[in-house]
Amino acid sequence: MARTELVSKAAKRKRAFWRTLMYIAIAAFFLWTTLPLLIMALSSIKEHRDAFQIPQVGDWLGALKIASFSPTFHHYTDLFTKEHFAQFILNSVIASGSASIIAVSLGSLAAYGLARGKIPGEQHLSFWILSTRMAPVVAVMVPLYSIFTGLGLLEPSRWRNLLGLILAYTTFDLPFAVWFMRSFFEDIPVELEEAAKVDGCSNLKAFRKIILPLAMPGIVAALILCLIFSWNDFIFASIFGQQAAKTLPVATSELHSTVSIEWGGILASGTLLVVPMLFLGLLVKKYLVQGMTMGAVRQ
Amino acid sequence: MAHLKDGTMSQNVSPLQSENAFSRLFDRIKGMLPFHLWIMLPTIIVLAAITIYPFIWMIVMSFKETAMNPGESDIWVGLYNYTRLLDDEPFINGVKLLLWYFLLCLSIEVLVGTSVALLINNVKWENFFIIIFIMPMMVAPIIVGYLFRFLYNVSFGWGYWLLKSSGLMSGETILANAKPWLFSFFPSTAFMAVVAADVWEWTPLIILIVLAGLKAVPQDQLEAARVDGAGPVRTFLEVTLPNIKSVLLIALVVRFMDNVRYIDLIYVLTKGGPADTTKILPFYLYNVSFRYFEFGRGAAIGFILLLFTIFMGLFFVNVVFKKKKEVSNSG
Repeated sequence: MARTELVSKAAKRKRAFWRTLMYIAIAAFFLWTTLPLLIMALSSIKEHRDAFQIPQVGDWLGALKIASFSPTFHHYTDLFTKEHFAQFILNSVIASGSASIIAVSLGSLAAYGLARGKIPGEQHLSFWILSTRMAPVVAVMVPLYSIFTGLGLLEPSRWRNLLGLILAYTTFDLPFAVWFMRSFFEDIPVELEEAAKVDGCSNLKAFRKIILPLAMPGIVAALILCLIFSWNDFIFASIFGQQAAKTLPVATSELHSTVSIEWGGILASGTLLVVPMLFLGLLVKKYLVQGMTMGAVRQ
Repeated sequence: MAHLKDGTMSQNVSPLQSENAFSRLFDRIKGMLPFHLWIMLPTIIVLAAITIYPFIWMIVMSFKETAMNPGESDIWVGLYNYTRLLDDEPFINGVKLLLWYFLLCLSIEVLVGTSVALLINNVKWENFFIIIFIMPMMVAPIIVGYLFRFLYNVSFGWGYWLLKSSGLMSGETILANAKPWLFSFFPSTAFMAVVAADVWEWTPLIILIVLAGLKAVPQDQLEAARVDGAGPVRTFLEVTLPNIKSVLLIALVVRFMDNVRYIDLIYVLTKGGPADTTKILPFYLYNVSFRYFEFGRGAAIGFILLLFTIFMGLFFVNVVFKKKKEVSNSG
């Protein structure tokens, strides 16, 4: 009795030591992840003189002063009154929304076909679809630029540029949607459609009435992930959006001119860009890993 | 009007001759391809239009030199755009830096990500941590760039203050062409600063992927290891690691591809500078194509990058299909 108590006491102490070490490591990583975002959000509601205030080197206690300031929202309101951020947000919504809808509607059909059909060379086909998504953005942009010039999509007109952007976003959203949704269709038992076909449903009707509702979570997740990817894009928008269809990320980057960096505006606009995506990210939390790995890893 | 009547009648009575011909034609077209190929057709057409044509265009363009003035036409230069790369200093520099970028980003992300995943696996607050760790991934890379540029600022950056206060940094600026402390063979501190921003955003992805892998480790194997008296390190090496190997491999390839894909971070943080120490190959390509507008040279570099990613993509597909087969065999 006494002996087991002794052993368990030493073991307990050892375990407690490792446990504290573990908590410290988790806490450190937690701070590393959250502090930059917190600083961004805080600084965006500070006057410049408060935002630019950091303590002396080595003055650890002085760091607490980060929380002492009187909040102001003028960086946010300036974006809408002095710049045209309402329009830029609309551009972002139109471009990323349309591309996502196109990608998911075409993609769900293709994903279902890929999941069900016994297609010869299926692996090659899926590889080709994947490769369009994984190609380096800049390498894809060079030929697209020349093609878009030919189609007149780079003329200074808002709708032409938006159309170009939608096409450009489709180049990565569509292959993503196909790969992502495929596993959802594969999970649905084939027996369900076979039963429906015995009952006289056509292929298309079985797809619409039986498969689509069952795959709905996957389809919604695909839509949201496409939205996140295209909303966050900068490089495509900076070239194909030109001046007439500036999206939110491009407009943010233009607050940084050769002369000065408008930090208040950049941090405010950054917060505006991030917050909706955080919500969407939480909505698809369950599918995030699957999404980021093109459906290769399941949670 | 008569047509409409015919249409409604045909539902009750036998179909009319003309409609029969239509539906027969329709059936014949439908029969040309199986249903599954039909529904894939729109995607295949769209993807072909936005990939195959640009791909061919790129190859053709890479043999030309782009005309710089209106009215002139492109000149055929054969393989010159490729051969000149051999003694193109920034190109070789870009390849070298890209390899460094892979090495540093991937090793730090995988090491830290796997450790944190092991730490928070099955902890009481696991779900809360996951929610927090999702956040950096949702931030647009360009905003990550600005955020870190803000933090790195010499006169008001909190990151600068932290590095200075903790004595980790001796130099005057973070985004400098200086060698980091202790590692004189490393790329510049500016390069490390870009890596740090990438690590901040994407380590959480590795955490989530590894967590997903950890949930799939068979409980009875862990139990057996415990009964055999294996310590945590041995359990990890001999039970956990073999089980999450394929998941880790996929994580690596995905990060690999995204590292070549995106240049937003560098665009904001350093623009390739100082002294080209952060001009990794994709960013150099961006400069060649969209600053100097040398599309021919850009196409050649782009083609080389593309071959590289195609190779990685093949690898990825093989891993995925192999994993699938394993699952279906065991299931």
